[in-house]
Amino acid sequence: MTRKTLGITTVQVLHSVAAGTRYGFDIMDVTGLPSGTVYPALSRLERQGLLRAKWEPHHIAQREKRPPRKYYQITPEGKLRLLAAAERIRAVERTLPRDAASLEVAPT
Amino acid sequence: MFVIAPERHPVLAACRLFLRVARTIAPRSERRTWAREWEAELGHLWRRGTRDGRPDARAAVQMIVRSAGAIAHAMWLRGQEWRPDMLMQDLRFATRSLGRRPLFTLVVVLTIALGIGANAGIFSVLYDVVLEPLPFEDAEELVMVWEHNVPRDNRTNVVAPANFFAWRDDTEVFEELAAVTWFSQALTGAEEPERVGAMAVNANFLPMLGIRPYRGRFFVPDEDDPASTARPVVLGHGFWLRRFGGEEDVLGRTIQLDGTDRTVVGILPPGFHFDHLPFAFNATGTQDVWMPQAFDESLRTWRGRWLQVIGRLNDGFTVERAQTELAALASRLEREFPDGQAGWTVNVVPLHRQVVGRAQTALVVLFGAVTLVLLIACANVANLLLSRSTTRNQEIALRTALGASRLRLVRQLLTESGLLALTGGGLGLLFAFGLVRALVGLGPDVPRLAEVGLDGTVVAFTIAVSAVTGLLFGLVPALRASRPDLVGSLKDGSARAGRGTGVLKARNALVVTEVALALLLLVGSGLLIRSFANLLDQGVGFDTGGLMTAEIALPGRDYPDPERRVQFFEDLVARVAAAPGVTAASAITNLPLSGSQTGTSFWLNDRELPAQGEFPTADIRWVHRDYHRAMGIPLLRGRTFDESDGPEAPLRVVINEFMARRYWPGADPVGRILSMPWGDTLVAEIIGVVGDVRHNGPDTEPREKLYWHHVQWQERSNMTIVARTDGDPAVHASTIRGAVRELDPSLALYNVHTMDYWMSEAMASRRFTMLALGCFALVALVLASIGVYGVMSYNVSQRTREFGVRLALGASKRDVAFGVVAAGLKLVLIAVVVGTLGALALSRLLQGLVYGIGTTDVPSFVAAGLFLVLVAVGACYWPAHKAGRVDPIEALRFE
Repeated sequence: MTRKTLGITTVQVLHSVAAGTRYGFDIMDVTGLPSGTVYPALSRLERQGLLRAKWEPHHIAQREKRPPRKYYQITPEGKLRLLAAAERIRAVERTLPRDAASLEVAPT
Repeated sequence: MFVIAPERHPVLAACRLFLRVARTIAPRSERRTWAREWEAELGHLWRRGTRDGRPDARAAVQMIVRSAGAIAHAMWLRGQEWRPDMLMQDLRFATRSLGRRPLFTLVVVLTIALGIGANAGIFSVLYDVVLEPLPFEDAEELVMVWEHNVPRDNRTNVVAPANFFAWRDDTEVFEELAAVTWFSQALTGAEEPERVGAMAVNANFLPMLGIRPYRGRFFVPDEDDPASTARPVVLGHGFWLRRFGGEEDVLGRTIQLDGTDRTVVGILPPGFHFDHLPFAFNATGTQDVWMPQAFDESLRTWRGRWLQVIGRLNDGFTVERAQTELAALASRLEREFPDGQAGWTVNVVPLHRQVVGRAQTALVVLFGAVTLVLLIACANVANLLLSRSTTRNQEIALRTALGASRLRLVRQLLTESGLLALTGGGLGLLFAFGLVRALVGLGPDVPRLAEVGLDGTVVAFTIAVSAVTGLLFGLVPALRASRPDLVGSLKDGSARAGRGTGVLKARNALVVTEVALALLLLVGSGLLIRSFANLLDQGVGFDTGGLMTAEIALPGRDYPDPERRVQFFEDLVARVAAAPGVTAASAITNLPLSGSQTGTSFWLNDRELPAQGEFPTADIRWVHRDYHRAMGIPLLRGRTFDESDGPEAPLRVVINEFMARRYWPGADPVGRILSMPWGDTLVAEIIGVVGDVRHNGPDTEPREKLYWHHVQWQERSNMTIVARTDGDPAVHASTIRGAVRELDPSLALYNVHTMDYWMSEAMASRRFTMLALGCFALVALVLASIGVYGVMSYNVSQRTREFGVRLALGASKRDVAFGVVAAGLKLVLIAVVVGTLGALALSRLLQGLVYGIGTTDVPSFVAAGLFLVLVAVGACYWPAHKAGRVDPIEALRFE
């Protein structure tokens, strides 16, 4: 598995799982990302071993008359990668301009 | 297949559709878990967002939008990451690749535009005229009720008031029943007298249709009572705008109609006119003023039938049940009142069928024609794309070798054909817009044409047709192209390798289909053209050229005295006849081709008196004495009227040839006596026989006709003046107008038209169908010849080497060229055989539209076939020419 740096949207998805949002559609609600983005991200994270997927117990699904939902949990490696990504993003964040005024830098 | 939720709902159906598409993309190994996850998530969203089995709007939108993401997910799993910008990339690529072949692109786009445009245009007309319900409240409950005269087999006879009362008061069939009379009245007292179209209706008529007044009110039941002293009038919207400039204070004003003062109480909504009535008496064609029927009890009689009856069926009554019930009533009345009811029953017709019935055949034929054109267009485009896929073989092979997946290539090719289809569809929509305007402008005798326009339904229809067309013709070449013979194509770079023969077969089949379909249309329009020519040859029984006509009615208030009315028309005819440029003038009550009609029953005094209800009938025309001479209707026996047939002389009639043959075959009817039951029995002597006139147009049969000298029956107050002229008849409108003004400046003329105008009106619907089908046949012919040209060029390019060899071995250019033409001709001949068989099977549909020939008319079939062969051979000319000019050395080196 190549250790490519995670993109912003992927980090968003990974983080929402880490924060306890476990189902694909709920992640969309939390992040506001479209399904065409969230699902490929989930699948990628699962393949990279950063997320683990399980199926919810049958009786819950039966009560709601639908198939059982698949839920995602973050793996220990996922936590490490999330922290690393957060670190990297914060580092980048520090270099970014804070407001419009700070963009008007004098020419060197 | 996908269990999202057990309910049935369009939103769920849409989600399932997306999942089904996505499923075909998802890799097999992961398909099951992928599907289960999506089902469960959508199912969860459905549970959360629905109340009582209905999703709220937010959930519905979310479900559809999110399920579309399943496709992106499936593509990702396939290793084909898809982002929205990739569609743009595909589109950009498609635009560029199509732009590199502008001629190809243009031909394809125009081909689709023609097919789709014609389709959408005719669909608009068909939809608005035939499919769309009439613009009335619960229009499907509305029916027209006619009397059915069994002995004469007239199923749509106007109704006697007594029967109207019986249906309305003695049965439960109708929730509402109203009678309508369409006539005309003189609007006087204002600055300029005018003849206006008048409608007399029962008070419940307009409310029954669900029409609400634009201003003011409609009639109250009391006003529909003959005892009522109120004289209300409701104005048509257009008339109100034209005559009163749209002033609202017209309400409460008094206007004078036929000498009666009437108070304006209301104005009809814009666009409302009830022109769905087959019979109009002295109508101006407009419905300017509306007034109550105010039926008198004295009208409870079966003598005289003139009402047109419209009703709304009661709950629980179908048309069939209404028919059964009213027929039972009719047979009871027949026993009770044999005097007026013998031989009469009823006929209940849904209003919708009554209105569109006469145009339905023509429109269905046109819609069939247009579908054929669309099929031809599709075949043509498939053909073109097939040839392109062959020439693009090398490019595709290269891209595959460089690692493009099959999915990617199919997507690219589908984007291309979709783009073509949508561009063609857009252009087609413009074309359709023009077509609809042209059709409406041609003004054929199609009911409800004023309601026709391009609308949302049609736009949706066009988009659907373009999408389906795009997929249809995009799919086959795309699948073929995406499975190229890699090694072969890369090796020799020609399009010949591998599957040339397969493609050729497919293309030949397409061309044969196209040409066969085009032949169907050619045969159809051939039949219609021959019918039209037959009708023009047939004529109506007199020379319609050089005749000017104008109708005039004398208001009863100013001309109460019958002698004065007769004298007025005598003076008027004399003045017109004396005018320079007029060679003869006369007058008649019901002008041929104008649609107006009067009839009577009669019996022959030299025969046994027929039983009640079985009296024969004949049309009556009151004429000025010079009528037959002026019109050019030949006198066959005896004489026509002259000064000796004055008011005091015994009643005399002239009959037509049809009547003479029917009642006195081989004998001379002159001198025989006939009688008419007009209150007192009228007895008349036949003094002459004249030629037949086809009163309702050349495609109608003549009927028994009695001409009376108008001075012998002075009840009539309106006649049509006819003037035979030696130049352009239209300029003599002013001659007639001037003569009228000299006699009485307060009189107005109406229906001022040349006879040729009436003739062209009578032929309008046929001309329309003929021209429209002719246009489609022409489009089909153009498309089919493009098809033939395309396949023959392809053929020639495939056989370049063979031609080179043959030319090198000493074949002449002509031999090679003839070979190409012969190959083309072979295809066309197969198509002609197939098409002829198809046309033999389908031409029966034209039964009601052909005249004077059978639907398997040999000349039409032969002409269509020959014409098609000629055009097809023409289309082979350039490919053949090219084949003959192949340079053997070039051709051989090429390999």
